[in-house]
Amino acid sequence: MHTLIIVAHPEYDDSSTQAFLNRAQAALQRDNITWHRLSDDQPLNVALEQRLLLQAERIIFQFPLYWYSAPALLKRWEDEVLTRAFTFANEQGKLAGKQLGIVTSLGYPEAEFQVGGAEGFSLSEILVPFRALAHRAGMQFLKPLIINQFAYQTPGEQQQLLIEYQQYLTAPQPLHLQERVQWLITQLHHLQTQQPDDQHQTIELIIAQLQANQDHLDDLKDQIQLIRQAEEE
Amino acid sequence: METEAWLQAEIQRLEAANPTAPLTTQALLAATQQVAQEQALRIEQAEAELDGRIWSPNKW
Repeated sequence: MHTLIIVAHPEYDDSSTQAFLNRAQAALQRDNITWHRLSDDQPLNVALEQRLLLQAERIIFQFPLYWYSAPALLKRWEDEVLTRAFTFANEQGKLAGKQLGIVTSLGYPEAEFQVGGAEGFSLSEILVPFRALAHRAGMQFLKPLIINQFAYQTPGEQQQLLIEYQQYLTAPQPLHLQERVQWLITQLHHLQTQQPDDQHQTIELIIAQLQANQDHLDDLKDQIQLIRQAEEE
Repeated sequence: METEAWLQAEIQRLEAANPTAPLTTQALLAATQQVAQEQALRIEQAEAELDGRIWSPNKW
């Protein structure tokens, strides 16, 4: 699966969040991810932008939330690149069947984005225009990844964010435990190739046990399912 | 429980062998620990449910 990350941050060079996300994606295998930064400095090459979209199966809009929306940089890109003929699924648009994901960072606490909170509107409401775009284009809209006040996160929270972000880019969505385990096993295999020989066996044992646990859990679930069905009959 | 303790110990051993590992590696190992815990909890819950259903008094 090829993932295209469209990064729209007006002050990209000063953004510690974007620098962190960039490092996180760079650590993944590099043949299936494109980090594409939008910039005000140059005019958009619509044909090139559309070609990038065509190559990807998962398209991510990545931006800080500005006044309950994306920065103008992304809106301009949408207005120019997403032409009707290219986008509308019912008119043979080219994006149908692809996935659209949102990675957005908040300057105010996530908990305030709800009824009764200081912001008063949920992020699901605020992000509706992107859901509408996905709907019109015939795309699968992924559950957005919300980055809550990155600067205030503890090292542990940042570690967790790093993994959640990497999974958002490359793991099957929606992400259940089974997919998380398989994703981790793939990453551990990748880590194994970078470690000295004496650690290979440890990593191999960890992978084998994670897989054995998952097989055992799947087996238990199957048995429970069978009993439940028998009880209901 | 024994298996989980052993698995956690192996992951910790790997962490200890890489004290200066980059953040991405540290995060991967922390996530592995977390998933191993979650697997152990779900296995325990599923085994308990299976026991409960097999030994249901309704079937006595």
